[in-house]
Amino acid sequence: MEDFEYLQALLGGEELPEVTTAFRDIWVLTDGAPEGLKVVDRARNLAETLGARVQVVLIRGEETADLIAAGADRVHLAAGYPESGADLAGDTEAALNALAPFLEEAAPEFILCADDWLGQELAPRLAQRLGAGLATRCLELTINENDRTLVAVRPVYQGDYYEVVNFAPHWPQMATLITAPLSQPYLDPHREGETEVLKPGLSAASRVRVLGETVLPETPLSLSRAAIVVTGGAALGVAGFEKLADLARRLGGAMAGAREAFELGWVEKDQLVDVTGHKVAPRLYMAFGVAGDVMHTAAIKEAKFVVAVHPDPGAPILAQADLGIVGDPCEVIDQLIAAL
Amino acid sequence: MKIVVTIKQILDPAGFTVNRRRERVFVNREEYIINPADLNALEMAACAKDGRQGVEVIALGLGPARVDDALREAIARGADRAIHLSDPALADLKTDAAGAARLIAAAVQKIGGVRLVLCGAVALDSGAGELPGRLAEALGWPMLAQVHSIDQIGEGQVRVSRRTERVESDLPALLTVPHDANQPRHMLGVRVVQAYRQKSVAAWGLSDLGFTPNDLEPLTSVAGRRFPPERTPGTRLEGSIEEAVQSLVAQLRAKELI
Repeated sequence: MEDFEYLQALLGGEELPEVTTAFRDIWVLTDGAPEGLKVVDRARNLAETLGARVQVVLIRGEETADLIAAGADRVHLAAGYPESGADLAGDTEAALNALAPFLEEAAPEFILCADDWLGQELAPRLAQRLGAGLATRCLELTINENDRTLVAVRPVYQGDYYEVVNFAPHWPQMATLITAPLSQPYLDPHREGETEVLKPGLSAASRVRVLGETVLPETPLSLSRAAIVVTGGAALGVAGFEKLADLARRLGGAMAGAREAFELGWVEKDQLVDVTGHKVAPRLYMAFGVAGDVMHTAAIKEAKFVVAVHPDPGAPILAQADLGIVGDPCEVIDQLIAAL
Repeated sequence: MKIVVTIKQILDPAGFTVNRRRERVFVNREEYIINPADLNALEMAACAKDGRQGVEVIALGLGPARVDDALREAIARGADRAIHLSDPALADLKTDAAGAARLIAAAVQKIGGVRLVLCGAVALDSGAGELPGRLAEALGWPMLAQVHSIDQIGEGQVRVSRRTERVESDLPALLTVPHDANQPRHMLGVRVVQAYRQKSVAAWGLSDLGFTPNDLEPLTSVAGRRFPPERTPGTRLEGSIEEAVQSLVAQLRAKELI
């Protein structure tokens, strides 16, 4: 018997148990953003394992061709709902009121979406309404072959390590996916799929109203709290610091200076990264024209990922960095700003 | 008006190191802190109280005995009182966000007259951001996510600013607060002493909230840990500056660093 199982495993012929519940298919929620295609692609892979179909709810627009090409078997259009013409993609509560009763009736086995506003705002509330388990910000999804439950791998402590999440045998099961590391899906123009107009059961007035636009004044991020820190050193030159400030703004990070830059008066004391100034622990640390003596590297040893740019190939910081570029830091900053 | 701030106590990431090669987490100092975004939520509540009569800020925490310290810290940072949801039956039961949301919702209902619940948008440890949405639903309230400031609290409405828009919601409502919304105020030593000597933290158990452990069977559970590949010795990006920068941006995007 064991031999038989071994042989079956070798041949890849292990069959998943049949669905015994009323819950069917993998459903993907998307607002038409490119991330949605990546989720459909992932759903397609899982659907092959499960022998299920991929159904998509498109919340905004009517562009179904790419969704079908990426792997959708059926696309439900929610555009134009409710009749007032309100944009479901702009109003989580309206989207929830429209989709929850529809999905409850459709009884999906699994519901997936990207980790954008759908994943962050809609998914937890939808999960609670449907009584579904949820794993957010997943990197990897597989199916437990014994009972058709999801197994998710997701980062904790900002990616320090990952946790494996098991689902109880209770459906629907929901997950949101981090889409950035996923490759662009292959679009098969000859794939066929159906399109249907979604007819949700009820329309409830939203209790949330947008009053107007605002752009919050930018408060300088304190170095110790910033997730991204960009630092300039002597080799950047005083003119480079303006560009550096621009780069910091674009990245949503904080600008800092190494000791030489501080001594030259290019940055303030509260922007000094050094053992004598601030120690920093950002997720991303970028050093431009910083030579990187011990006083500096000791202050950044808790940084998760270090990028260094220096004209001198022998600069110590290049040996310490995860990624290094030998070259003029000003030029690199210009190119970076252009590429972002 | 009563404002509830949810407090999650998490293991201080400064106290452990992750060894990817040996695939282990070494806890050097087992110290706990309040989830950073919860401090921003607490600060927002404290600001709403400043210069206004009749606002009471209540810190609400779920978890084992050590959460008492986090709740007293919350009092020292501006909460008027604290409630600790704790039960021996919960010690063995690893409840998930769905169960936690129902428990906290029941506690908010039991407090009575709560107009606003403020939550940190995302917990630093799990990074999930799942609880606030579930809690809003468990309460049946509207949710405003990623709120940077409360502009106005009226009888029936609250007006807030998010990063790109101003939004109004009916009360009661739940707000989530990101970690860059404000700068939490410093704690005065004297308030810490008061928080321990003069204040008491109420303890509510499962039966006080009308639950039995069977009601809280988790839908998801953490089954183990996995480790990202070990950090490789640094690479130099070769080629022209243009190529090097393209490659740099691609790698940073792939790692979700930018």
